[in-house]
Amino acid sequence: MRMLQSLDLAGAVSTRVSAASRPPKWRARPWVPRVVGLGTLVCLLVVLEGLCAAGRVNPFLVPAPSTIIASFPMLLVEHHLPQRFASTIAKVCAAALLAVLLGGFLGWAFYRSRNMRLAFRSWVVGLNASPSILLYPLFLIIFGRGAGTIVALGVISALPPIVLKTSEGLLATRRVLLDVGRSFNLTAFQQFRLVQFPAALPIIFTGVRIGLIYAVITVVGVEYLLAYGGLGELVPDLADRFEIPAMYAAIIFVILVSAGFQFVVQKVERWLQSV
Amino acid sequence: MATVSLRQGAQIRGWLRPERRLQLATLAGLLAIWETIAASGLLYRGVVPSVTGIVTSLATMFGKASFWTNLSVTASEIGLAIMIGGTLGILVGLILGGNRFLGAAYSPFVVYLASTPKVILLPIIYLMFGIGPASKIVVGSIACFMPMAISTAAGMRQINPTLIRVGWSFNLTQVQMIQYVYLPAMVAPIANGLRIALGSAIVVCLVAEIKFSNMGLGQMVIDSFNRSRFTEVYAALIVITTLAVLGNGIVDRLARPPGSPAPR
Repeated sequence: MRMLQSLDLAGAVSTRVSAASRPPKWRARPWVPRVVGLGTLVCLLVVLEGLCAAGRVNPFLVPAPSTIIASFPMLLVEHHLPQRFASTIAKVCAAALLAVLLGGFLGWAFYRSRNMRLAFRSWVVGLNASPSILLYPLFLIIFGRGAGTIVALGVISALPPIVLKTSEGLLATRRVLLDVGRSFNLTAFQQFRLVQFPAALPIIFTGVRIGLIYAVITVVGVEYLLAYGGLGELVPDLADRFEIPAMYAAIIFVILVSAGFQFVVQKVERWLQSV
Repeated sequence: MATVSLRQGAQIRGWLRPERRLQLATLAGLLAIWETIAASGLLYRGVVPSVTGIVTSLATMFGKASFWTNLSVTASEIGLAIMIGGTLGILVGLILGGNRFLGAAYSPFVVYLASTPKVILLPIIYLMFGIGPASKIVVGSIACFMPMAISTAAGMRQINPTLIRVGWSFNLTQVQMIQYVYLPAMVAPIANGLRIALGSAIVVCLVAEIKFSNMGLGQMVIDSFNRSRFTEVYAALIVITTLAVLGNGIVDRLARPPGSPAPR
């Protein structure tokens, strides 16, 4: 009883506290935090620029933001940034497509066969936990130093979340939906195409989103390790030439590409969940 | 006696379950395919060595002092990376999850940076920290920071408000709130973040060792590869993968509530 009273009291106290410390109206607007976040970033860049101009920061370690921005045209013209971007994106798309096809099939097989699921789910989880990027020396021997190795490793890294989420999504289809399908005398294929797959799509796409992000990380990582093609090669290449501002610019470009990729797939995922 | 025989019977039945038979058959099939390719000479013999060759390399590797030195170097790099990156991640996660305004302002940066390949930062880190263990610890810490911060912030937002009100009603200080309310209520999300952080730290530390290092398991793999000692490459990869899967399994067990079974 005393506990309940204290809980009530706590509720009353918290209501008073929250009423007293309610944020001002301007803080409740959704664009304000975004502006504050971006403003902080701009302030940090201005401070860094000032420190670099005052000679407080070694420009060979951290170049001034203005020199980094100024090196972008050189990246575009001399280092063929658009072509490299296209090369990396093509490998990511190829890896993602293969992973979706293979992972979708395996996920469906896991859904259809309980024995397969029980036998191999832990293997897929293990593959997800293992650092598959370290297999690159072996793929290097099999596929050579080229796009094949990079795409194959991208597929391996993207596969586990797609398999696991596909089977999870199909298994989570609500029974009432399946019963509705049966009441319309749908064939097994129609049941899958018209009921199960659309119902499972949001969960499946969560797996695809995670897989796509893994594919981007692996493709750029292997390009970096092999110093072969695309954005991943550009960064060590610039580091070896000691073109530090351009190296920073290339790294920032890779971060922006990854963030853009994440942004797009997140938007698609939210759209699928709302449909 | 009867108890023992019943237990043995249950164990035998467990091994005869269809999924176990499927696992064993698949494993046997894969080994047979591997041995056939190794014996056929279709691929360069060194690239696909026999299983016995790999097992022999594994046994020899365990007997070498250099392996244990490399293992301890990599393990300490990963351990320190998790300690530094994990602690900072939890602190930042508590701030971003505890304050809605700060969370809305700065969480997007953490979320978008989390999807970036961290190995791309290595040239900057090599410039600042050299090619010794420090650079691996720094890149590992960055890799650990993001998942820990995201998981902790998400965990903070999911705490039952009643627990927070109870803490306030007892006039707990902010440190006491973290110690007695926030952290105990977030064991599962933090353990889940730790699982992702561990995987990321293993990958980036080993990749950093492969790129530039004179010790560690990553350096051992690439050194064996460069000398065309492929059985040693396979043996090292088996050890690394086993350790990574074991570590993941232990943290995954922590992330699940007590008594809950593994997902089937």
